[in-house]
Amino acid sequence: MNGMNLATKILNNRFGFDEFKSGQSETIQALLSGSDVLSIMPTGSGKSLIYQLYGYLVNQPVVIVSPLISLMGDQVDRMNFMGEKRVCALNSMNDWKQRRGLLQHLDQFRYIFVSPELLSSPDVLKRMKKLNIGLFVIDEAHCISKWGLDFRPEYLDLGREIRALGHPQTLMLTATASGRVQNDIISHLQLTNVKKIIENIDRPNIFLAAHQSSNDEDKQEELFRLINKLKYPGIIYFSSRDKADEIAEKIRADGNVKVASYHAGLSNDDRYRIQHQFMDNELQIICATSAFGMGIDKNDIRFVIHYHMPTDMESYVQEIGRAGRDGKESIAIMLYSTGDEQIAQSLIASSIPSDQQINSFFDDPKVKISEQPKRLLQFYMNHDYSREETKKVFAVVAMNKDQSLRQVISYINNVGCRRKYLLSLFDVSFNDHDDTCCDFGNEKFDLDSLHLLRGRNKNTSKIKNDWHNILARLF
Amino acid sequence: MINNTNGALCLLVFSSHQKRRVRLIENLLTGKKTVATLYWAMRYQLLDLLGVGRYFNINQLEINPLVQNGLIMRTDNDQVHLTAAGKQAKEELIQEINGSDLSFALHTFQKIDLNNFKQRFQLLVQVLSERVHHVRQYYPINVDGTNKAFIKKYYRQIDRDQAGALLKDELNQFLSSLEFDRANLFAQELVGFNTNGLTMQQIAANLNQSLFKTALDDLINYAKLVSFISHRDHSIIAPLLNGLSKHSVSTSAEETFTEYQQLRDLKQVEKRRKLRESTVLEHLLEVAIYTPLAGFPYRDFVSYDLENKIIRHLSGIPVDEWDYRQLSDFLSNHLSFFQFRLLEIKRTKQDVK
Repeated sequence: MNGMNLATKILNNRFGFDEFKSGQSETIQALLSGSDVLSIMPTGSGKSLIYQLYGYLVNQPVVIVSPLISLMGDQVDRMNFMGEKRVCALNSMNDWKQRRGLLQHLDQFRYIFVSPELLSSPDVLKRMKKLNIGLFVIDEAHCISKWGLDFRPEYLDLGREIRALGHPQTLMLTATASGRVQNDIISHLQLTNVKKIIENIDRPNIFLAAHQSSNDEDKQEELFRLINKLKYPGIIYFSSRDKADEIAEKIRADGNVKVASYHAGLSNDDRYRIQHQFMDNELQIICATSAFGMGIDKNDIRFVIHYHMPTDMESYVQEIGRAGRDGKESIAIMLYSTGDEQIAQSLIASSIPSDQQINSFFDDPKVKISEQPKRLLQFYMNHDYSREETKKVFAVVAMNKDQSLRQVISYINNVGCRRKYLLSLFDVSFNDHDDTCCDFGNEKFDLDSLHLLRGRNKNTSKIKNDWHNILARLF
Repeated sequence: MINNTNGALCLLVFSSHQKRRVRLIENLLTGKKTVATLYWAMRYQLLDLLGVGRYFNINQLEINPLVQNGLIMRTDNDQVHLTAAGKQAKEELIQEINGSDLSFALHTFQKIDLNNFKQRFQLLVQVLSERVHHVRQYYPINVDGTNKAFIKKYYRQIDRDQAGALLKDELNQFLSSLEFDRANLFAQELVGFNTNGLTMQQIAANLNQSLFKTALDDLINYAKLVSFISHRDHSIIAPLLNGLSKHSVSTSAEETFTEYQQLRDLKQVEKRRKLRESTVLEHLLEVAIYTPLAGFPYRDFVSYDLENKIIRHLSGIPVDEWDYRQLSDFLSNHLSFFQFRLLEIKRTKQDVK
């Protein structure tokens, strides 16, 4: 049986699907030819199935570098749920004992998720070298470019680590990467023989719109107008936890909508309950920061509204990509009120060390500065960058970030087809604009004709929540 | 009215008649068990709050909003006290929460690791609930790896076909013993078959009460559950308490004190315990803090004479304001910091008595 036939058989038996989604078979075929592969596929197109299936195909361990602990946890949970128990996650959540236990038995796992920080630690790398790694996966590979320089510098070491591991076959996965970012990924990793699989990132069933208000009050009014009409479920994204909490509380107080806020400030307990309530449609709206969504696999989300603009279009495409995975009509609306870019700018500024911080740090590495810039500066110092070289690096980062933010502003202000503009940023041309595409020439878009108008509220039967009923339901 | 948990906790831990140190109380809440933290917690009569911050997910007190609202006044270096308005807000808060239930719960919290008990219990409920309905594929709630391993092992040991019914029966009896709202709170948090559970915030909103009160009620519920299962034969929940007992005095300090009682000689204790002098003294202070006045040999360390001299020297100064550095040279030459602290502990216990 040739490789692809075997892959299809595994797809059938293990995953219960008859055929591959677009991009999956191309990526597996490219991997079977022995090359390293950079695969750009839209969110929801089944990227993780690729490495899971390939692991069964080659019958060797698969190592997956993943940027977020919560994302790792979600993936481990999902694979456990699907019946694969030989999965573990190595990250800062492990206590010393757990980590020692995992490292001692590393060869018993088929899928090993690891954070870039832990991968760079010598004891982990030493153990990994002893594995006969079948596939080395870099999930959310755009982090090398988008976050790598300023948020997760450890991603920049991945090239060195791949070589230290004897260059196992490498798969880079991301949902969004412009040509510039693609080149960035490959050059940082110093890979030479890379096949690229690029799926169209366009999601034609998501209607694109933006709305400008002159102040925050008007913006809230527009938000409430929208959520009073739109079909559920939906996500509203914020850049601050406080605002997400505040608006969730207002929506809750306003009426019958079941809503919750979701951000990194939640406890594990709350995170579990809110995610699962949303999955089971017990919640209709989530007010979230970007912490929500990376691992969420819900296919009937009808709207994604951005109350605050993201800092770049890559994030925007990722976040709106949570909508309409079932292929049905959905909508992505960016709300803007005058001065919002300042919030984004201050987020960016706080993520990049200033010249003054760089000077104080190089004068005395023990100086008190906030955690994130300190971690970055420590990284560059450990990698023998001089003070001036470090300044240059961050000057470039600041410039790139500024340029990225300008693209977001241009998207909001865009005159013409929004989809055409958005896709052009990812080197995709688009000329099929019509009334179901975006709000260009259709500013007062009619939700009814887009099939996004909510019908009369169904009188949803209230779940009985007194303890007798709960016990009866549980047992 | 203070609605947020952090603010409510601030009201609870600060006082209108005693200046208290913010950093020390934060250390107390996060469970940092140094002698300084324990000593001041004893002075503030807050020893039962050791580690409680973890239950509320709070490790830093947000003082500023209460200062802005005129409820808290800052004095010098990291000390604060409640204003008259703060005092009134605190009284209202204490009225809202049932004081005696709360002290029972906090006392239990010091004896049993309720955080881990709750994790184990909720996972057991989920596992058995899904089992009763023959569901094999579900997402387990997020609990620490060690608790997960504990439940896995326990699950293998019990009679799985009976366990669901036994648990239901036991919970039925327990919940019947609670007030109706408290029982609902307890049940609404549970996760299992077709039940995602509610967050504490959602439960608080349903009950139309503050998150803080809800979280305290939850803590009280779990303390009551511990007491309930401890008095039962053949409880299916009771084995979850294995290894979760907490001791006020650390084992190591206890061993040092036992050695001391036998040897009555610090040098020999150091040798026998292979500890530095400073560690031995810290152990003794820890024991003194947690032991009733008559149970600790104060006289072994501070003579009657010396004690009287010090008391005379410091007469009129409240113990909170005693400062070793301000003793006269003569006295400080005859009295170590260890002895001084021991005297402070003794005076505190005498005052409380």
